[in-house]
Amino acid sequence: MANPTAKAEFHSEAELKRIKAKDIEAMTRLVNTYTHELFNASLGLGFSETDSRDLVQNVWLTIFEKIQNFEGRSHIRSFLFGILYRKAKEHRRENSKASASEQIEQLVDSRFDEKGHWHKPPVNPEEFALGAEKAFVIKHCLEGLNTSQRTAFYLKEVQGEDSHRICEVLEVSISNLGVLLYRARNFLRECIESKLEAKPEQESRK
Amino acid sequence: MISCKDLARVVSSQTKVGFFKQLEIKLHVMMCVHCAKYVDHLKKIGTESRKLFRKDGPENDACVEEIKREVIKKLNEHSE
Repeated sequence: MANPTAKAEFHSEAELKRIKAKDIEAMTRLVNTYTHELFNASLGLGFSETDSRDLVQNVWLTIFEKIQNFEGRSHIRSFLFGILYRKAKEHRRENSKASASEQIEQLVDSRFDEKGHWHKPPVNPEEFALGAEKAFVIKHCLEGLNTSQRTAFYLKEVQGEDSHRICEVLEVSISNLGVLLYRARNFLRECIESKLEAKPEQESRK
Repeated sequence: MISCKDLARVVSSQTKVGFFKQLEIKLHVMMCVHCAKYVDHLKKIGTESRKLFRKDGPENDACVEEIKREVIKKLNEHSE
């Protein structure tokens, strides 16, 4: 149902007018088109399936209340996702995994010598093979990030959001966002590398 | 020339750098096998994460359909 043609429809003035007037059919089309994407985004932001279900329902209720405030300057998708990110922030609490992912600075430092050359270099690409069958490794490692790091990583890498927008969502400065991304990516890299090393399954590469 | 350690920080934090710094980074990655591996790892992490959360797979279809039904039900209740 969520096909590109359906999404393109929401560019039309007439459809936006119907949505703002809370026309049931138009709103239903909107719900059918974007629920899947909002749900996947919620999972990506680190919410469980149950929490994502609540969150997405909550997002839609807010949208029904606030839709008349939508000015149509941006695509309606940005409006919907803006509400998702705000609601996500209200829902989440900083988890206690902060310490593990914050020690990443020392771990990364220990990979270099005093001149800044690699002392313990990354493994070879063939040892860092991430395919569909290794998705569980990424999922597992993502759980080690704290919520701010995870949100920063998700919005930048998966949603491809602009840095300024991510700073608004997380209420951080550009340099803080840099620190969050640095820690998130290096934590993931270190975590994945150690997990792949720990499971030296003999897979035929030929 | 930028050190491997500084390169790792700039690349992973996506710090905005000037044209010449960018060029320096590109040249460094071309010449340094370890930094090339590092950059390759980050790219793979990005690509695989996008696949993980962007797929409209059947895995959560039932759940999504249920949310839609609930929301549309509420929407109809609201309008009555």
